[in-house]
Amino acid sequence: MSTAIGSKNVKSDNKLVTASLILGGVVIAAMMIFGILMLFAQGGVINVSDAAFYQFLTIHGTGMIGAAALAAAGVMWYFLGKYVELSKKVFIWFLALVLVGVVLVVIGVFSFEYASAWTFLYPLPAISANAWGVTGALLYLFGMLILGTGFLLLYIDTGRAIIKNYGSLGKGLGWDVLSGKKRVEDAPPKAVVASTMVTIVNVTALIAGAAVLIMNIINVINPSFTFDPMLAKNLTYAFGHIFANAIIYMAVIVVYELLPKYAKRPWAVTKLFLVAWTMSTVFTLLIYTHHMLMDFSMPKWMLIMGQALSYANGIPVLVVTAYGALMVVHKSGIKWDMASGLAFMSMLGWTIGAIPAIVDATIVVNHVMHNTKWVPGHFHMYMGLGAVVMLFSFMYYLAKIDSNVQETKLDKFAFWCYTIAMMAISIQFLVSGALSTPRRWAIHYPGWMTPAVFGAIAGVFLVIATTIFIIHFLRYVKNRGTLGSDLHEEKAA
Amino acid sequence: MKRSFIIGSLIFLILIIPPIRIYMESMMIIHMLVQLPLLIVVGWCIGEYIENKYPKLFELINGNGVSGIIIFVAITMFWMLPRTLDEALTFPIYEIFKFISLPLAGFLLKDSWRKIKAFGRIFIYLNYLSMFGLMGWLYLDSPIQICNNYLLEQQKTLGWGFIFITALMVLYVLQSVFTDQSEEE
Amino acid sequence: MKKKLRNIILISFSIVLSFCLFYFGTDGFQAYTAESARIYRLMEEKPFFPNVTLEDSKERVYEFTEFEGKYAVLTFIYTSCTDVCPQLEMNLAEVYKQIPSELLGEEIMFLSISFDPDRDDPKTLEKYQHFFSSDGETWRMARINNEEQLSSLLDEFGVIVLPDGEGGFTHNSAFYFVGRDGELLDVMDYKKTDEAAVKIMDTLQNDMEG
Repeated sequence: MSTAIGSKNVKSDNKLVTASLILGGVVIAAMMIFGILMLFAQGGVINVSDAAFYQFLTIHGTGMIGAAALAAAGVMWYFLGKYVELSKKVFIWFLALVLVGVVLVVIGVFSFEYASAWTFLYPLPAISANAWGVTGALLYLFGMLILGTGFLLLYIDTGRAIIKNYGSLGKGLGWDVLSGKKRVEDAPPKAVVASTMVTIVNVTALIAGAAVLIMNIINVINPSFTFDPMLAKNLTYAFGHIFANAIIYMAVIVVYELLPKYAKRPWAVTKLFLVAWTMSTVFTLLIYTHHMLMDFSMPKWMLIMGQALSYANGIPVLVVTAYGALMVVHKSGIKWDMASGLAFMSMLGWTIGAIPAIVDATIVVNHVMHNTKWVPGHFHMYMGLGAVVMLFSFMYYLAKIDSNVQETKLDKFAFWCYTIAMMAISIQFLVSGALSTPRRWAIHYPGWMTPAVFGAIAGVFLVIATTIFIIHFLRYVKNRGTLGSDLHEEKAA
Repeated sequence: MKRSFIIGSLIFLILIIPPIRIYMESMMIIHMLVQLPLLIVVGWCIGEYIENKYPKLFELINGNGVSGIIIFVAITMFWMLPRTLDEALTFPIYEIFKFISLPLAGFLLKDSWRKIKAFGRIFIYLNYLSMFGLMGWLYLDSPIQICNNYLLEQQKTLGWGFIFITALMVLYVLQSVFTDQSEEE
Repeated sequence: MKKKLRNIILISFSIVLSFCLFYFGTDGFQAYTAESARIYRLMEEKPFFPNVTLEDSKERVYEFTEFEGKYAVLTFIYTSCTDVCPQLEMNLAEVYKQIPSELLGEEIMFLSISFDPDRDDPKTLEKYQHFFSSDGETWRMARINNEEQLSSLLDEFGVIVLPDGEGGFTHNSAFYFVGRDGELLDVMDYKKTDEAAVKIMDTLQNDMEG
């Protein structure tokens, strides 16, 4: 059943995957520059008009989430494609629609000054106090809608393929193993379990997102149609939180596939592993309410659920993955190179990045912390040191197994440069948060400025490191197919 | 197959009998969620008949099914605009267009549904799921009366109707992705 | 290959067709509700105020032609209305206050027409007008007794009145701006009083200068 179909046409598959990673990587690097500009502006080093600051904020958020999701989807597609039959045509449509969406969003933000931040919280798109017009709002909202449609197409295809191969999404999560109908040895591979989870949560998120985007579009076109803002906020975060959260669950597949290969040790699926992923599927769908802990009109039970489940959410998968990774690596005599190093680093980043989130999900703390830079501190650490690092790890992995491009000392430098810089940026945010620096503010009091400047300077190093990563990947793309590694033969297995 | 043609035509004839037509249109929820879908069913039945009788026809006008489904989506979305339902009561031309366009939509759907395969079907289905949810929300939540010919109460009833359909659609999705499908295909 | 080309042509054709459907169905992406379509159509048609006989709060009976040569701002109401009418009239009062008093009665008239002649007799209307400090002269409230005349007026101006079964009506609301010859100039959002006042003043000034 779970035999591989991997060998069919690896070359053109790789081409599509590299396209998504290049696009994602380059956009991530570009968005870092906007991040640096914002921090410098907050630090009082450069002058950025308030309007421009919020445009940067909008594009930085949208771009980072979109690009990371795009590249992570590429990673997921690459590994899932080894176990089930995915449609290449759909992936091409996915890339094309994402590209169109990105173009519309960029035009909306920069040519028409749209700046609602990536959360486009109703009724902000329609009511901007003349900061932007109908055209800008429509370009942005339609851009997001098209982008979402692209992702929806991709997940329909993954869901369809998983159901075709394993019978149902429940079986994709290994429920028949949990219920004892099937032996653990026959459980679906980790890549399939993770892909199933992402398919479930992201289809849900995208449907909620589509509804709230169209709702905003209706409101922009015809402001006399109004909606309940609280419900709109719920849907917006059901979309935004789940979609952003799912990035790491797509990207983590690289850790599952790569570490056992490097350590030359199997990393077997256990019942605990399956339980953990099922729990995370449910929790991820429910915990978005922790974004609403300050909305007093929300039902209390939802908020309490948001707090309780947020504690529980990341933990199951994080623990089985981090612990599993340690066990696989421990005393295995693993070869450390860029790919395995980054993969291991990402586990560390994921683990420590979750801690500030858990602190913030506590209702009492949330009331004080949620609108400070503490929260950007959490998600920069979680994304920057976790999810995005996994993407870079995949880039090096692909280069290794599919070309003879060698890693140089420069790459090693970039590894440490990236790690330290990202750490510095995250800590800078956390320190600012502890100093009660509000987030999303264009202008800072002098007392808040120092960490921002520190973060901006670290950001410069971050961009340098990221550029080195991308250049290595581009070198691979140019030399694709010149096999260098013995790992390649194992690929079809 | 002739039977489906007869069934289709029969439903159509019943729907245009003036007292039935006027009664159905007097209630917003029946107008939107009974009359309009039945008109699509009419088209579907007739499509089934034509498909068997003149198999070449669809090959010619609806090659891979995509063009047909686009028209279907356009027509159904058109009749979901708050305006059109209202105008059908006021202007005979809209009413006539309604009785032509919706059977046409069903007619095209019959052929396209087969051709667009599982992938296309899921995509269309999920789109309608979020669209119906949104329509329900719009009709329930709107503080203004959207239609001139129907009272606010009727609008709310229709909103709940849409929410109900959305809920059924969600349940259908859940049962189909979590029960074993491996014997199919 | 031929098949592929045909499919592309078919798809393009269906997209164009769908676009046309929505373009014409919404008057060029302008009107998504029957109410906005109604206003759009009224602006296209520019109907004339039909000749009807009014009876106002001072029990005077006259034809609409009485106001010929003057602009008129109209609303359609019924006094037992508990939801939108009071707000509509409050807002009309806001507009009324913004018009310089030397123009009132000379260049422009305000008129609230009741579509519930059975209950809105002159006495009731007189009581009602006090709530909005309408003077009964430059801002009059009147009913139309002739049922045929009333329905022809409502028809011409696209006012839809539905009995709600509990003695009330549901109806659409707006300010109707009528020109010197009785032609409908504009249908204005009754929630945007300042905009309406500016528009009325602009029209009056342009007219008096030109």
